[in-house]
Amino acid sequence: MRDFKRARPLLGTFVEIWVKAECPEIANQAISNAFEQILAIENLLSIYKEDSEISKLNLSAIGVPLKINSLTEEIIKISESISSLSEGIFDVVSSKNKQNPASFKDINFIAPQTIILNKTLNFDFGGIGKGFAVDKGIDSLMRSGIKYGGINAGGDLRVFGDIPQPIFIRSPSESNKIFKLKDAENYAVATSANYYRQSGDGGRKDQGIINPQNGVSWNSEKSISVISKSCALSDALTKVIALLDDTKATAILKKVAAEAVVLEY
Amino acid sequence: MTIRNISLLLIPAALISPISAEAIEYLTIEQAQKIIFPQADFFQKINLSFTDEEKDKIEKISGLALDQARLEAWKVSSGSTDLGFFFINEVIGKHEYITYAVGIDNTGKIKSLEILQYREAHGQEIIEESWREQFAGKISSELKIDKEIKNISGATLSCKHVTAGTQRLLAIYQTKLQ
Repeated sequence: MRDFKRARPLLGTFVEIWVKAECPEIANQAISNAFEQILAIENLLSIYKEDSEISKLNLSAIGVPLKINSLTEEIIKISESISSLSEGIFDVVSSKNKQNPASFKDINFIAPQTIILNKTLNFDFGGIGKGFAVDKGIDSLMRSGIKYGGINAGGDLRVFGDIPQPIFIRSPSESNKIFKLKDAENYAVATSANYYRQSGDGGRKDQGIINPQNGVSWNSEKSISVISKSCALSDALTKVIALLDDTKATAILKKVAAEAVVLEY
Repeated sequence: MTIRNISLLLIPAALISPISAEAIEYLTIEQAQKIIFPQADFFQKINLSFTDEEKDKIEKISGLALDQARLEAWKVSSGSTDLGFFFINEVIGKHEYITYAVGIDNTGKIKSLEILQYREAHGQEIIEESWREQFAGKISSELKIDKEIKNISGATLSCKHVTAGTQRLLAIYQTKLQ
């Protein structure tokens, strides 16, 4: 078994995929399929693409049956359960101006992959989309018969296989410093921080984390990393943990058997 | 800096490591050619040079000027069938270059893209002695920069420069190679 690793620009960042496989043909076919799966999710869920399914849904009529992709259905349901778990702290309603937009209860599933909206939708899956894409990429690798590997999408990552792999977290204020947490098998980790908010350095500016209940934005020199079995869950929960006190945060993490690490200046 | 754990499990002692550079080679040119054009049996290297007029046109179409960064092109074929073009180009990541490959098919569409090499230097950031001292004995000397430093969670780069570079390659194709 040899190691193979490739990277492509996707989801606004660089996505790395690595596997162990017997030969390049098997490895590269599996990696290419996983990249295609991630691209398919980007094409469904990116609000920056006018012809994505979510962009069209956000313009769709109310009161009529709308067909949606099974992946879109899945992320709606996952988002709803995390929103419920976090008592609304995690939400996918876009902060961009829309009067009285739909919430989850305004989406009625009348059949598999078929919904009727009670109100105009204004959803943005930016807070969970990368993690979801990573999870689906991992599923794709497994379907290709790969037994060991991982995917890292701009810092949201997941690994699988029965050999432990290290977890590193980047320092929130000094990009050349990294922190090793531990070695583990089959985990996902996502990190939110106000990285590289200085202008002009080519770094990615994180979307500001805003508490949907009071509009207050989160500004601090710290990073939150959430470790769990699902990258979508980890991705969504970083935003939740950032906005809650330790007691509430611990309660939520306990419910889903996740853990969080805060690096703080 | 403090490290606070909100967790169910006991987290072992932290290790902080300063890294001075990151360099990852994902693919060689030949490997990328094979992945992007699996049916190809011939890659003919093309000499790319541009008149001022062509340079202006490329900048106008793509919004990005031609620069001194590495740029190479091959005409791709299988038997007597044209399959398109294969490019190697470099763009700046944060401080260093990212080398990438793009395939454009014979209808002028971008076929696919692979990163060949990613480098990032942190030379400008000084590794302070006093900062290291607090972790004396705990900094792992076993960490190798390009092999064991992986699975880093935390923000990495926007891919916007590669995206812009790809648009420029498309403009080069439309201006010179169509």
